[in-house]
Amino acid sequence: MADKTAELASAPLADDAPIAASQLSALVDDELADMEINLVLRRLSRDHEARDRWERYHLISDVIQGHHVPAALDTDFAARIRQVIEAEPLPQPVAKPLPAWYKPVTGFGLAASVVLLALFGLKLNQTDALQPATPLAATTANLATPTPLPIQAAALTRPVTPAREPVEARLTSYLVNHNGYASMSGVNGVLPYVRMVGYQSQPDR
Amino acid sequence: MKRRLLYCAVLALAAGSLPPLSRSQPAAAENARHWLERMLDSTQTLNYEGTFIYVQGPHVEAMRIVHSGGGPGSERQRLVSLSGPLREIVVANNQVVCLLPKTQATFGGDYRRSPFPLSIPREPGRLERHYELQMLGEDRVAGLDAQVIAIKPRDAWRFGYRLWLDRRNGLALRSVLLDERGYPVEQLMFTDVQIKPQIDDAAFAAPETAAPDAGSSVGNARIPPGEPVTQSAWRVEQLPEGFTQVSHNRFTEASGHHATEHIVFADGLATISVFLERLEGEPPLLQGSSQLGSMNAFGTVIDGHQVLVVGEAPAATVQRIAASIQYRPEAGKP
Repeated sequence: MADKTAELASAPLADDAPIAASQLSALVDDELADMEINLVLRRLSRDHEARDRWERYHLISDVIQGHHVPAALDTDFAARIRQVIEAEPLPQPVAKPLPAWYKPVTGFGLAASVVLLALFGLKLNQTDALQPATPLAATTANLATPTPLPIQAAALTRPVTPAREPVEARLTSYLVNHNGYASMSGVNGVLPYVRMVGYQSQPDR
Repeated sequence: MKRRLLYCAVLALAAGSLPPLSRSQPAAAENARHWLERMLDSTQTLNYEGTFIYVQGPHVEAMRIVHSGGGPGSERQRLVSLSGPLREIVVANNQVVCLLPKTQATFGGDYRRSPFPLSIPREPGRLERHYELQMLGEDRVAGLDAQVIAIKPRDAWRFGYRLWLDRRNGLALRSVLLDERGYPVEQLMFTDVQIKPQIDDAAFAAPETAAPDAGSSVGNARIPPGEPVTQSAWRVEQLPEGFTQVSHNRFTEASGHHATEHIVFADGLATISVFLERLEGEPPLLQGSSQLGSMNAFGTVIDGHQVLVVGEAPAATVQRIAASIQYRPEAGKP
């Protein structure tokens, strides 16, 4: 297991920093770490120029690798995917948000994941063997056809939102119970309590 | 010719120095073990007060801690958030009182008194079957000289730690939790810490708003201590190597009618909880993977029960445990 503490500390992490050509190139070649992919994708969504550049890199990469190059170049692929994602209805506001530490993975980063799926055919991190097949699987199958993108279907797999009060009480009791034990068996008895305090301040998603 | 001789001599010297180098490996592990033991001692016995920053993913927090030692069971500590909404946790007299923005929970019980069946940090041999201990040199934290040690997992079922320990007493001045790929998930670092001969009792008084009759009002939860479970309908068939069951309790929330079973597994560093609760018409809390800060969770529904596995371990570990849970109603009957 390599320790990447040092590298991370020096990596430019701001969302709005310009994308380096090397980063784009690494993205095309699938040489970026997961964390960085998300970041670069977020920046891509804001930076029109970078998006154009990214499409050119892909074309170059395809030509170099001798892949099939389409007769007519679809230069607006990324833009169209973004439009579909933007057109997607927003989640309904709930009366009272869940505790901050309760963050279903399905909600966050879905747009980025779908873009990844669509553009690179990369697998989602969260495809669980245990979960019933989600519409995301269907999305992958249809990717060969550029339009229309069946992104809507994937976006519908939203976490259920049960009644607030009892849920919060239950999750808190789970957390307190778990940390009671974690503080005794873990390496640093303080950490579990620090985690409890830390979760509560995270902004609700 | 002379030059060649010299070259040979250098080679011989280099070759001669190789075996001692490889022999020094176990010694380094032993040193790291010694430091780990010092740390465990100091976290239980030292009285200290300090300020630290806590980083978890994109979140940064500043917190104040007051800790009074005295050995297992009599340790007391108070944690106060210095940024964002006021949050407070007081652990004293076998009680955990949490003052959190929306909920105020008191967790009473004698779980601190009960001898922990598996205190693996005290059984280094066992710990080292699944983690490798390493000395990583010296550094400076909060203006103090620190010894850096690494606890590296030997497989992908668990997270690793990097610890900066006060060279005078072994107190953890900085800790980094590293995920299965070596990325930091969570970091804690003191910016200032003072060792005290004694700490005033007033420092551990329950937070002001924690009125004793608060249990009845909405938003306040008093979580009673759990009862040990001897007969259960639940079996966890397959655990990742090294994890052992350390407790199996049943607790009932004051606010609800649900009895929840709580099974705890540990490998000496990581703790994983399994919560099992009957769903009476309400939708499940969680299905699939989720991240709770630096912890991973996996939820599933089995025979009308919510099954929730939570722990500071990789997503694959909690998922695997969730997948191996079996429900046999006939086994749970007395």
